[in-house]
Amino acid sequence: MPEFAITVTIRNRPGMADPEGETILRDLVLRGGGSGGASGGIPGGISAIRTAKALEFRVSAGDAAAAEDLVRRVCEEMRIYNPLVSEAVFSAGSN
Amino acid sequence: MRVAVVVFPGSNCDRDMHHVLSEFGMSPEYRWHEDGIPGGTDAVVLPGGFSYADRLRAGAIASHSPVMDDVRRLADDGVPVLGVCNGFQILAEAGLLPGALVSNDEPGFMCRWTEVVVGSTGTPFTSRFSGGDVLGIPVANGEGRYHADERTVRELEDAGRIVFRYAGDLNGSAGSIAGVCSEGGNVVGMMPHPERAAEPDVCPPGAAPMAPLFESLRAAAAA
Amino acid sequence: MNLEPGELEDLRSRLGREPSDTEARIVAAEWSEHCSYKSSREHLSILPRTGPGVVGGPGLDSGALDVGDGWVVTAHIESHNHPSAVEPYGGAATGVGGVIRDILSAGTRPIAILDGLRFGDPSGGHARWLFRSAVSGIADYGNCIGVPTIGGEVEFDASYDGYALVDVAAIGFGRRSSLIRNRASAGDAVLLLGGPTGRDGIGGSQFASESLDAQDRSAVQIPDPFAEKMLIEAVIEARRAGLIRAMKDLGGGGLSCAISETADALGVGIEADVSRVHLRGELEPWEVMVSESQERMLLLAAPGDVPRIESICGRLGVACSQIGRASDGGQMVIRRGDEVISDMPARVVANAPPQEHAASPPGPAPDPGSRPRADHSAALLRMLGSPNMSSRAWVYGQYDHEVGIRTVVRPGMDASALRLDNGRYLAVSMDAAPKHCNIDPRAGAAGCLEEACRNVVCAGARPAAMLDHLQFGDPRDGRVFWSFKESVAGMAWYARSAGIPCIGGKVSLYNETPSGPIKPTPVALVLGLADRPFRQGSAADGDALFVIGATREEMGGSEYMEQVHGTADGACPAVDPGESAANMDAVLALQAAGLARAVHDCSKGGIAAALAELCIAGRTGCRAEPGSFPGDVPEDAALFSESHSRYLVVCPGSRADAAEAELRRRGVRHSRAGVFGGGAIRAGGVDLSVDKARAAWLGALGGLVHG
Repeated sequence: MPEFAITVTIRNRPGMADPEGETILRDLVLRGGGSGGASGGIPGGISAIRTAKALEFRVSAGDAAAAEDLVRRVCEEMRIYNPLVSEAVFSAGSN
Repeated sequence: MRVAVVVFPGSNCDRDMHHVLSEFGMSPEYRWHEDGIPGGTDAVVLPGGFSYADRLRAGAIASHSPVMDDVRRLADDGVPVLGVCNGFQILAEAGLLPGALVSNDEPGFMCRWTEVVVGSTGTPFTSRFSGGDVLGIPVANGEGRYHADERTVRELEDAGRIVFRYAGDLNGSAGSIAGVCSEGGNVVGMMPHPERAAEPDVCPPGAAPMAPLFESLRAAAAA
Repeated sequence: MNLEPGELEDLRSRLGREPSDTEARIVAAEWSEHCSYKSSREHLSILPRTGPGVVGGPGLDSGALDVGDGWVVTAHIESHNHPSAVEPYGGAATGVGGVIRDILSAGTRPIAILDGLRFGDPSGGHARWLFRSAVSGIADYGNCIGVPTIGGEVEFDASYDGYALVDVAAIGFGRRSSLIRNRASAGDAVLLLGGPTGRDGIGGSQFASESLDAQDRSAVQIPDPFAEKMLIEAVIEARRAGLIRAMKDLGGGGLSCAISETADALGVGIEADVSRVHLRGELEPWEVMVSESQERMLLLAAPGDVPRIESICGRLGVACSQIGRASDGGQMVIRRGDEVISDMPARVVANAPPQEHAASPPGPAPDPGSRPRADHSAALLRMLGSPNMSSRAWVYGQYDHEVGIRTVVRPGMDASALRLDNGRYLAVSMDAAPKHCNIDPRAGAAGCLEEACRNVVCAGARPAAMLDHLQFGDPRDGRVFWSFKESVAGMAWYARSAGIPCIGGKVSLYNETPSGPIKPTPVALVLGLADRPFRQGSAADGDALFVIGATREEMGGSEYMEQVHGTADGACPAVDPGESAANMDAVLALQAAGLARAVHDCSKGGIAAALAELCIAGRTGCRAEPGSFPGDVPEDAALFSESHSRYLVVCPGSRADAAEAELRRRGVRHSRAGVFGGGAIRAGGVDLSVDKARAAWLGALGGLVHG
């Protein structure tokens, strides 16, 4: 059976706070790097940063859809993410 | 002796460090990270804590703070600079010390007393120790595993820049490194918390194993 | 989230008109059980509220304990059960945040956290997920804000299946003169500090007042410990500068609760404009009023001081909005811009009509019958390696329990102890005994309070104050409400008899699992004071073992009966106040006279478990004679009964005669019951290798999580 790489991107559901993204935006990016940074000045045009956790599963399965189904099921059963808080996006890439 | 205790947003061992420096007869002053470090400062301490809640990476955001320009300048001038725990992470992120601090090999936060072996006594923070001393000290971190490539670790060893090593394998640190110093020896970073092991009352009975670190600093200024 | 029909009627008649939709929602938030204590308030008045050292007086929200030299200790306890049951990481974390802000409200700096965690049968994956996630949530939050987590409890019981109890207590410390004596006058500015108000956490307090199957799943809150840390520093700086006239943290019920209760308590009105509240996302006005977004504080300040508060907040990166002002007349007026959307007397909003419930005692308890013989070595080994009795190091090793450099006695002992700035020491213990309370809530509640007292005595401190946290199922169930009233009575009875004032507490009802109410779970937090703490040593070869206190045939609800005989029936332990006081005095005297090397409380698992723990800590064995233990009971009860008021004391061999003489002089029930040494725990039918016991005891909790 072929092997697939299924990437699961877990991030807070829309409308949920994302304190880490907000801190990286406010205290780092919008400050333009402050001291000693290589960059000069505040980059324009950036209005939001959202953080996420990415997990790459390597799965042997008949096809990409089956691999994705398996990963989806495992993520739900093992509570890899809590659907009350987070959403997960599954994407398949074959190797 | 005037010691600047730098306060970043989220520092939380700043008051502990201030207290211990005072107990050892020094004159600590808090310096907010957006304010400069005044002239006449004899030493700088970057205390532990969670600057910016460790977001992105421990120390990553604080290493860009305005105060780091002054820290870098003073370090270049040979002023003693100590980074403890998050302070060490910030110094490493800022490039003032080699290597990086990454997640412990058993993931998660670890708070416990451990033992370190004293390496270099040629720094302003370790002159009152004897090399090879094995001393108790607590660690409290999630990203405390020292990481550097093999060549760097060897160079640090050869140059006598390893200040403290764990007596055993605590968290997977390269070379069991708990603390290192700059080439000039005046900048020291360490993951364990000496300020928590400097007063007998809060140490396992009968000892204050890290008192010599603060005595060393006081002596360095007097010299 | 609605008012009950009778309550809507009551509101109508008190307003003399039909409330608007927004008004009804504001009142519904405040009249939830969680905010209003409508079922419990009148029953709590029997707890003793005054005593030596208790700082009271107008404008003080919660009690504070005077520890001498101008210093005070404050304490608070609450739970975050419903949110933790659906999102344990965030629920537990924000539980820490909430109780920390209560300490801050008093004007004191938080110096310690304790947490009591209860989950269902740990053989279930769901309970283990709840456990692991709640511990992570507490660790990530408490560690980040730099407040040490110094103690607590972990317990598993099938009555919590599908549910979680997350109780968090916090300790504060400060100058007595810095306590915030809440006051206000017309014209004072009303400020909202901290994180933005968002849709997360809408309906949380109602959620906490309904059983889980009726949950509103939007009540999940995202923890932001960084925002909390900066809020702590901003509030302390403003307090130090004398800029705060009154302060209240935002918890259950959000702005509805904070504004109405503040106005009502201070005898002023408050006018606030929801359009001035800093928001995350778009919210309806009523949502702004009931959102339970975390990391927020309400401050009242003189108008001229507002710029200085804004400047402190600006420097620390804390958002600060002036949302309104205090007024004469006691009216709570909420506007959106120029439009008035709610206009009610604060007194009406803040005072829910009390709710009466019937209390019905259960029928007679079943007779436990006779106990079959059991292998006591196997029983002890099994209990030491059980999730309820094994070492908690896996948990507290993830908590920074040293930050603040006050921790003198670390977690893992009966009680932890902190040094205070005046050279004195504070010992703290948090305890509950739901298995006992399920048999006899009055005896069980008194007993868990006495156990917490025993624990601080083990740290060399004398109990000085207590807090209670009362957790039960749906109060409309007569059995549940009876157990609530009995528990309050039991705690009040012991507190009065021991002269320990209650300086705070909390009630949490509607703790229902998918299969019914939780076991009655009153929790006691006891604060003890010492001029110097007792530093536990380790038992060494040749040391003498003393048992202080009488063992009775009180096997009901014991770990032994449940784990070995599979039943909880039987009489549960009951406290004798006279014996309790005499034994505490005796232990404190032995410690002060330098006659004790180690002291350990006997609770879960009885004397056998306590002795095993002493042997494990000292890496030495012991030969003890159960027949000599005070009390005339069969051997299994001597070993495993969980009778109260008992201590094990380890004395250096050379001091054993002096210890014996002191105990005899005091007339307390005691026996010199054994000698330490060798590699095995030997007591009657028990013969267990210390190494084997140690391995089972140390590894169990981590093994539960890591498999």
